[in-house]
Parts: sequence; structure tokens; C-alpha cells
Amino acid sequence: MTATSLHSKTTSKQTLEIPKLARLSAKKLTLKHDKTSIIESLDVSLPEGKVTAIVGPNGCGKSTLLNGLSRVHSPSSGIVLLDGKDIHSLPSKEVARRLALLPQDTLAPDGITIEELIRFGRHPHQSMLKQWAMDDQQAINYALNAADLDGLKDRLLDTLSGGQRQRAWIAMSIAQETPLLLLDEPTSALDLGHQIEVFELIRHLSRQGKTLAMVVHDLPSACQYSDHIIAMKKGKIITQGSPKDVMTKELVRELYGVECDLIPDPMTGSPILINMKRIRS
Amino acid sequence: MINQTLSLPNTGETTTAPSGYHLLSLNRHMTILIEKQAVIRNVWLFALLVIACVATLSIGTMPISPKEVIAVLFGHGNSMSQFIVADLRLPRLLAALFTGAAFSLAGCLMQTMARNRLATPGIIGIDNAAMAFAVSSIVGMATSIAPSFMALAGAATATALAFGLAGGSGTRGYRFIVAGIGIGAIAGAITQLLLSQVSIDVANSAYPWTVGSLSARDPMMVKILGIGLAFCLVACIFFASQFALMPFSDQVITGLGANIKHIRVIALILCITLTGLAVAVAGPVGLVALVGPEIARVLARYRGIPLISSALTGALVMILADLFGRTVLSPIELPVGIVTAVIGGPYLIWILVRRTSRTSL
Repeated sequence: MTATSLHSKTTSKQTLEIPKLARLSAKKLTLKHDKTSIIESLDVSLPEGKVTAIVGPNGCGKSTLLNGLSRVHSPSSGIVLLDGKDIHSLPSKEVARRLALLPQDTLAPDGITIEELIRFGRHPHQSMLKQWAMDDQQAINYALNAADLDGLKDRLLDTLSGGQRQRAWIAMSIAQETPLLLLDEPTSALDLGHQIEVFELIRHLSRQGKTLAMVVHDLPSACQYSDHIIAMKKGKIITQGSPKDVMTKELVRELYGVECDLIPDPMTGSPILINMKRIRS
Repeated sequence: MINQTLSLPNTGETTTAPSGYHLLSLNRHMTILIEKQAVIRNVWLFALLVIACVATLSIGTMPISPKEVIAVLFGHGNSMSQFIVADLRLPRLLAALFTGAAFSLAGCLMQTMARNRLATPGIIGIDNAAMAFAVSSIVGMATSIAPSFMALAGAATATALAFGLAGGSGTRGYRFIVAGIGIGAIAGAITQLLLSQVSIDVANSAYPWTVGSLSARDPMMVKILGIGLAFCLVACIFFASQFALMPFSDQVITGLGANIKHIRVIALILCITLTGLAVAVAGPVGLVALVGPEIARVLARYRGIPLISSALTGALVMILADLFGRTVLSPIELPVGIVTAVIGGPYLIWILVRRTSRTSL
């Protein structure tokens, strides 16, 4: 509940005209796969204008939570609130103008170019008789620029490196011009250099005033690139708060069954895990 | 009408169409993007189709010059050629045109929806089920409208069954296809059973139709198919931007604010309508649904969903296959379903092999 007190007082003076900040929260949210409860009666709220990292062991319900928050997965009970309204009661297109989702599974049409992919991000802003306007063009140019893809816009998506491809997908979400962006393991398939590339892009978007939430596996990256950490286990939030407050030896042991020591990064001060050992339980 | 640029008075900048597109702007609030390649491709295909149509109308046991054919089509020409072209050949040509376009469009839609190039109505068993229902109406009833609607009912039943048996995986995944193959086999067996129970004359007259033929078409059913096809083409244009989302994952589609269930239901209704009505005219010529979209996709650079191109290539394939079947062993006539299988099969294999060998492109 500390999250609600974090409502930032950012004014709307940003380089890109993103609509006012959007609040996303869930109350008593229960999400099921068939009959199995993945998440039960969970309360959560994303701090506005910050990067939130959702961490936890495999199968703890991180991705399910992200799908629930983005209305892809309908709740069995409880409610997801977008700016105070039930997300499922709002028109889907309206939601898509405020909230973008970048899932892990990124299937795309064959033979699509970067620019064409990014153009799909404009779908919620377009209609049958309004397929291309000034704001579409500006948003796409902005997205290409922000994701550092200017020179690549006519390249085929299949011909890009993993990092470039992931940046193209993020660019599609940027073109959606939503104040909220949820990312499911945006760096999972990338090598170190490309991981940092994507995390830095996420940081950049946060500085532009966006509210971001991402599922991340790598704890040190989660600490370094987020303002707020939500630690989950077995469908419940164990703890949340700023990386420095939350990240402890005890938490690592509880989440992953791993014994370790934490030292602060000499440059940034964010925690680094060393001396890791798996403990038998 | 077609502007490359559109200036907006309140900003100094201008809107330019994205590369590869025409921007059609009626005013600031009505803008439509048209893919340049698609326009060129479809104009070419349409021109080829017109040539194939004129050729079909002029070639036969009584050859009629293309000039005379065109004269007849514009209401002139002597009464003999008028009779041959307008009364004998044109109805068959229209049947080929409509069924080819319908099968191919349905195939393209279903392949896109299932994200599997094998998932055409023919393989999912829709063709066979539509045929089984239609045959039962021929065996049982005498009205000419009945087969169209029975075929529609059969197509809908097969789709519903394939969906039910596929369980939670919906149209995605192999269960849908496997269930469909089973349904198709059962429906085929039912057709055979029905035909084995009727008098040899009835069975004989229904036989060419069960292998796919344009010689047994009924003018009423062709008319119904034409109306259905026109309706479906308009619907495809209307829903084009939504259908374009189908290759993405469900999460992306929802994330972009589209309703995946609506899109799928609309696409399925179109598939059922097109396939059911086309089977009522020509029987199951399912291979057109595989070959037509494949050619359209090879021609399309951006392999999105070349729906209109698929309809055009399907019509072209059907007309040429029927022309071939009618002339190559004349006076013996090969059913069009057999021609598409004999010519289309190897061609399809060639396309598939060629496509995989140039993935490095």
C-alpha cells in the first residue's frame, strides 16, 4: 500500500506528449488457469512514473499477473482498475490508448518491415476511415528515434539481431503512446550487450514520464534498472519496495532457495549477488 | 485524389504516406492507406483474369474469335455465337470464377486465422461435410435452393465440431486440424454411403460433383454464390485492418485494443459461407484453397494477408484448370477437381520447396 503514496507530481511538460499519467492497480485479484488458481486475492498498484520490476521463481505467477493487469487474462474474481475504472468495463481500444503490453511470445507476420511493425502500434488510434494522420507519423518517427532504429526502418524484422528485434517490438509499444507499458521478460532471450541496450531504453522511457512494469529474471538487473520491486512467490506478493530496501539475503533464500551475500555495486550502489549456493530444502 | 503529401494548416509539417503506400485523403479526418504493391499486383492479376475469361469463352468445340466474344459480351454478335458464348459458356465461366475466388479467399482467411498454411477448409473437413449435407438434400429433396443451404449447414456443422473437438486450443494448434481431418473422413464416408443407397442414375448424376466438377452446376446456386461472394469481399475490405492483426499472438492483438474473439468469429463465418456456397456449386475443389493463397503470398512482398489477391488467383486457377480439363482430352471432359489435384499438387510442392530454399533472402 506504500505504492499509492508514491503518486508523483510530474507535470505534463514532457518532450513527447504522453497523455496524463495513468494509474493501474488490482484489488483482490484472483486469476485461474482452468481450475487452478495461479494468483489469489492479490492487491497491487504500480507506482506512477516509475519502473517496477516483478521478480520471483518460475511459476510464481509473474506473467499471469502481467496478463491479468493488461486484461488479456480475465479475473475469476476481484478487479483491475485503470484510472479508477474496471478495465474490463472500458472499451478495449480505449484501454489500448492508455496501456501497452509487450508479451514474451512475439510472433509477427512474415516479411514485415520494422516500420510496418511499428505502425501496428497505432492501431488503437486509427479507424477504418482514419488510417494515417499527422499524429501517427509523429508517433512512429518518435518511436523509431527513441529505439534507435532510424536507419533500419525498411529492414525486414527477420533479418535483425535479437536486440534490434526486441527494440523494434518496444518501439511498437512506444508508438502506441500509452502512459503505461507492461513488458514480459523483455530481455530473456538476449545476450548481455543487448540486455543492457533494452534496459537503458526502458530507463529512457521512464524518464519521459511513462509508468513501466516488467517481469525480470535477473535480480541484479532488476535492482539496477527499477525503482520499485515486487517479489512474488506462489501467486502472492512477499514484499515490495525500493530495490535497496527489499533486496536482502533472506529474500533471495526465500524466493529461490539460494544462499548468497549482497554487496553494493561500487558505481551505482545497487545490490550485487555474490557467493551463491543452492541450498537443499 | 491520391496525394503523396497532405498539408495540415495548424502545423508547419506535412503528412507523408509511409514508404510503399499511397495516401488517399478525402479530408483531414478521412485518410486511407493503400499498399502500392498490392494495387499493382491486383491490377495485373485482374488483367490476366480478363484474358483468361475471354480465352475460356472463345475456346471450345466451336471456336469463336476473341473479337466476337467481346462483341457478344457488349450485346452484339450473331445469334449463333450469342447462344454459344452467353448461354453455354458464360454460366460455366461464372461458376468457375465464383467458386475459385470463394475457395481461395476462404483458404487464405482460415490459414491466417489458424496461423498454419495447411489449415484450409478442405483439410479441416468443411468441404466434405458441406458435400455430405448437400448430397443428402439431392437424394432427399427436389428443390434447387436446398443444396446451397444444406451445404452451408454442413460447413457450419463441421466447423463447430472441429472447434468443439479441438477444446481450449481453439483454431490454433494441431488439434483443430487433426479433428477436422477426422470429420472430413467421416463426412466423405457418409457421402459414399448415401450414394450407394440410391438408384444408379441418381448416383451417376451426383458423382462428377463429388470429385469437383463445374458441369453439374445449378444456375440458382451460382447466383447465390455470386451474392455471397460479393458480400464476403466487401466484408474483407471492411475488416481488413482487424484481419491484418491475426498473425500476431492473442496477447498482442488484445494489447492493441482489438477483440480477438470477434475477429475470429467474423473470419469463420466468412469461411463457412464461402466454402459452403462454393461446394454447393462445384463440389469439393479444396486444392484451390491451398494453391490460390500460396500464389498470392509468393506475389506479395509484405506477406500480410493478400485477401483480394487470393480471390483473384483462386479464380484464375479455377478457370485455367477447367479450361484445361475441357480441352486437353476433348471431347472427354476431366472434372476440374481432378485437374486441380493433378496440376495443383506438384505446383504446390514446388512452391513449398522453393520458398524454404530462399529463406536467406
